[in-house]
Amino acid sequence: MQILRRPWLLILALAVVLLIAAVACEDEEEEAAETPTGETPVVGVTPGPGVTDTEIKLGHTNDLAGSGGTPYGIITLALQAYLNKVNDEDGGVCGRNITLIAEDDQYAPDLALEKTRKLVEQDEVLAIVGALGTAAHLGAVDYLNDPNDDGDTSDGIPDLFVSTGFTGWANVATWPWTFGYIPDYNSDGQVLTTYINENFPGQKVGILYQNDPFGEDYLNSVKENLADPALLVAEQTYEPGAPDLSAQIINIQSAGAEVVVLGAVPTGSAAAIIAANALGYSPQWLVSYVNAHTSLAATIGGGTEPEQLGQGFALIDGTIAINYQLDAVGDTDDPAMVEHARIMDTYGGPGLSTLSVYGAHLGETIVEALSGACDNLTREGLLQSVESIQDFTPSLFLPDIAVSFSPTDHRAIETFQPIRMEADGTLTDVGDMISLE
Amino acid sequence: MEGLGQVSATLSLPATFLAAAPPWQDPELFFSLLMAGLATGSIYGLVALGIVLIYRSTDVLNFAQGEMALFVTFVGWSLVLALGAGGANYWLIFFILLVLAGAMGAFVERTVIRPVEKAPVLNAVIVTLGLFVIFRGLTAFIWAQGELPKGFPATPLGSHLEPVSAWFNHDLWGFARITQHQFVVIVITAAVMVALYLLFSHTKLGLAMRATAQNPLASRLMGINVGRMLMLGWALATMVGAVGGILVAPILSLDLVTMLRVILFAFAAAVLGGLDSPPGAIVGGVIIGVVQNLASTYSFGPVFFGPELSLPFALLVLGLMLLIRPTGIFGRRAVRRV
Amino acid sequence: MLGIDWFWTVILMAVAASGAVRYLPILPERWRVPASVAVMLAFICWMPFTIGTFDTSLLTKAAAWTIVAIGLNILTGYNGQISLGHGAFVLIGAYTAAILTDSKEHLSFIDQAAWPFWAATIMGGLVAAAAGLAVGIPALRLSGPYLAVATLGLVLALPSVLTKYDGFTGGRLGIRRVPKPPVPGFLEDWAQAFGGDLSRDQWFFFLALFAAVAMTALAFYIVRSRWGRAFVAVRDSEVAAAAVGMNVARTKVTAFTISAFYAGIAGAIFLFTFQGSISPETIGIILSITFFTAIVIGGLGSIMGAIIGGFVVVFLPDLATDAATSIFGEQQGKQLWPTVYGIVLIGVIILMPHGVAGFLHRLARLRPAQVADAARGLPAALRSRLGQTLERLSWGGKDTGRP
Repeated sequence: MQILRRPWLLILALAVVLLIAAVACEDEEEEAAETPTGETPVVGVTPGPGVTDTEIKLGHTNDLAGSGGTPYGIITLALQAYLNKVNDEDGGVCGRNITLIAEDDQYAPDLALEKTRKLVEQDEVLAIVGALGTAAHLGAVDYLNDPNDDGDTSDGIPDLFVSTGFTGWANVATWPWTFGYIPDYNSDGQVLTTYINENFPGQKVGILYQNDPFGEDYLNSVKENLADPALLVAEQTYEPGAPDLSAQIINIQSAGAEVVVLGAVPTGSAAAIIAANALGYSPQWLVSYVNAHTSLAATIGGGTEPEQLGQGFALIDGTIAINYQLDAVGDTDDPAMVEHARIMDTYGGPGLSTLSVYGAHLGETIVEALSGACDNLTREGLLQSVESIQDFTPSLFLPDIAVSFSPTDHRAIETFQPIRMEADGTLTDVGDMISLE
Repeated sequence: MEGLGQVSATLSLPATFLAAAPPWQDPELFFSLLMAGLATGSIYGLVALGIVLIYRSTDVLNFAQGEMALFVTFVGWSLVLALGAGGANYWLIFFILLVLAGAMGAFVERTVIRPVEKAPVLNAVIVTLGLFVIFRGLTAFIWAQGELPKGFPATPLGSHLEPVSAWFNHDLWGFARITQHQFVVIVITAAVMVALYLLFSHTKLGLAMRATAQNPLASRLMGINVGRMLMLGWALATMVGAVGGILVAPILSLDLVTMLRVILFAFAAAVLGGLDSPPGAIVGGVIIGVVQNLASTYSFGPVFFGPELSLPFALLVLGLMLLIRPTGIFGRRAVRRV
Repeated sequence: MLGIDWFWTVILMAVAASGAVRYLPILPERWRVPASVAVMLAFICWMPFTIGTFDTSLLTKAAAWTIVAIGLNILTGYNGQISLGHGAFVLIGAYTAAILTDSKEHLSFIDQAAWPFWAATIMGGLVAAAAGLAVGIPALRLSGPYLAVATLGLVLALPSVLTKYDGFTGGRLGIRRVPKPPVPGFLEDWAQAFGGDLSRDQWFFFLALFAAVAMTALAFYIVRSRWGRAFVAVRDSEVAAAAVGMNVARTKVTAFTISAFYAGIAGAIFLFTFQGSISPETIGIILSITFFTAIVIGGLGSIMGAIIGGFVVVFLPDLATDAATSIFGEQQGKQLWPTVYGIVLIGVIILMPHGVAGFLHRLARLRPAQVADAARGLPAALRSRLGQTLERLSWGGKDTGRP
């Protein structure tokens, strides 16, 4: 017959069939061996998805490999290292190990939704923690709060401690399961503007903001909170990554601004400050808190050698910002930082940096949230636990800054301490804490 | 309703934006914007030059140009950390980086570009996109473990903090308001241009490279080692790109996306100037740099796009230029052979 | 090595079954192609009921991206014009559909009542097609790399424009909570008659599948029609086409318009069946370039290639991650996967210059005699290849390659 004329086809077909059979059988074994989650009941409440006798599964999305252009992958590494320490040295949380499942969403909204769905529907995690990337997470947040898209948000998944400064995460009405964490940019702008109102009344104000939601938050909050709106004489924007901001600075200078708010990331702030220096223009700078002072000085000075840092610090002398976490370079003697270094070293975490510190205190807050839900390890229980966190200060925060939530308040930090950057590389507290209750 | 209102607002006189005084009223402002644009444009031009060199020699658009330059610059950062950046050390590191870049470029050409030379032309695009992903991934993996962005020192020739006027103690009508480093960038770009011109038109090697680009078959028949010329072309282009990266790093500091915006404008510059014209690349870069600066400051009568539209505006300018001259300002007219 | 789970098992079965029907002498010649298509479709229809909800949503997205790939293939594969910026048309289609179905006051400036989703989808395609027309005309002046960079500029500039004119578009946040099409009554009844029910995810998948099949059928028709032949003629030689009296300009612009229509439809489908919201950043430059990569890897000038390309877009990153984690371990792997991804891309395109579809095509045409010959000649070929390589590597050797 025909098939015998092409014996190789027959062999190929048989091989394919055998392969499929082998894989399918192996797969059935695997499926049978998989323990369904949440089966073994614990005394008390039936645990939620992702919880067994021995582990709690948490999901996390981030631009892990940097292919979306962000360097925040280290935060995940630091978080994992911290959680490894908790499992190893503290016996986990609620007597169970924490398993963090991290997925790479390449900072894209459609991938964020895809990975979040994978974590919820396939891995069956208890909650999503520390999602990164505003644009990305906006793709997933509606799903987390209302997975069936039926208008009923009672079956949502806790979306804890979203790690971007987008103000909207604290919108309890729209997203009842979502909680912010880091100071949002609108609050930062509000604090800076309050500081201006109190300390530089009557002076002309200019603002340079990055042309994206981050920068626009600063623009809007400055406009809303400035005591006398007529004092805002210059609004300049720049594209992220623009090499030269002389045009913008020249415009601000020409308008006569004596106080300038920089709603910019370190690259942009550095370019602005350098340009102003070259123009002989030295206004009172107020910068976004994302500009850690050592990082900013190193960027300006061109490196981390003492001479370069010195040049950087000289140019940012007198700059005002807020600060909420310990500095990886400036606070190395602080016991909390020493411990942080030990944890990162022992548990395979990354080198010390602003981002590693962030990942670690994020871990501390997650553990705090879980600890409050030990007798009710369900999604609703976790939600209640988070909403009852009051005045929690992770060890890597500055001593006066605290995280608080309530059923109506999903914004983590409400009180801020303005600081001034000094030419010798230190930070000084200036004025009283500003509260945004 | 609201949307239509916004569109018409763009086309009318701006209300809240500071519209600067026109050049004849404030020449210093104009000149300082011009010089700053020249400096930025030089950087775009350098990177564009690398793109043009590769396109001229191998007919490939190297989308990975920026990431390769960034990779080399990050290596430089590690070297600076190890050796320090004082005077002689800086130039030593500079030299090492050039050699590394050249070797990388030659290696890439030989291993992954050569096999797709004879294949459909779009395959080479895929290869460079693959290279883009690889280099970006490696850069993130190796150097994103610590603090980003990382600072990078300027050349010993000029500080990137002090303005040029510090050299002369005089403002020179706004010409001297750019930083010394920005001035150094302009000078080095010009030097690179001159060096390449001398190479291509006054040396046998340059002649061989030009011949290979024009007609590989005839060149081979004349005894030119075509393969080696191709590798050399890529090596040269990667070196030029590395210089661009080293010069831009003190300004933008080293981050994963440092070269991304630069490369986009560099592509625009290369296309604007003509993809087979090295001087065109520099000219295109300068045009883009200067126009961007001027357009976000001045309003021309009823039209003021505002700084938020500076990117689309620049691309619109590019589009219009291409309509007028489809192969760029200095590009050779495409001759269609039947 | 790679985690082959149930999802991939089913796909393998589908491919094997339809491949067997197509190439094995089981059925008479005439029936083979339609039968293999039917078998494949049967498997695909079965899948949502056996794989999980998440995997179903993945397939839904793949279906939407396949539509983009087919349209882009018509432009680039059949008509030879490079577009790196097709993401812009996808975005335009999605935005149009979102605006038309959104019932918020300030957005539905056309009609207070929201449009039904299928009308919004078609309108999305039409608006995108109009944009394609607007871009296709100036594109006549450009070719090759110049066209590539110009289209890249398009997808770069669009988000800024969308953000600025937020009266139409909802600005930075875009349009959220777009009403997704509900499961139609008759389908629910039908499913219940079979003893099961139809979940929303499954319904979305079938909707996307229907759109993909419809657009694929349309593409087959276009490609075999006068227009299709005109596209190819213009690609192969504009001068010759003009010489025989074809309107080259009209042909090229039509190709652009049609491919933009496909992208617009895909954008609307993606919106309604998967994402549920749209913002200026949803379709970025990376995704736009990836569409282009997908069709080249899949195989230009072949509809099968475009379908493979659509799958590549969705699944290759995950496969690369799996490979990376099994080689380098969990933590390092998740960080190194882009490198693996890039190597795979380069490897595939070097080994298969005509894409996966092209490679399979040649594979199917292999005759056993050829295979046997090649097998016998392998040792000799390897030896000579090795010799050549060694010779080239020695720096002093003269270049003796072929012209």
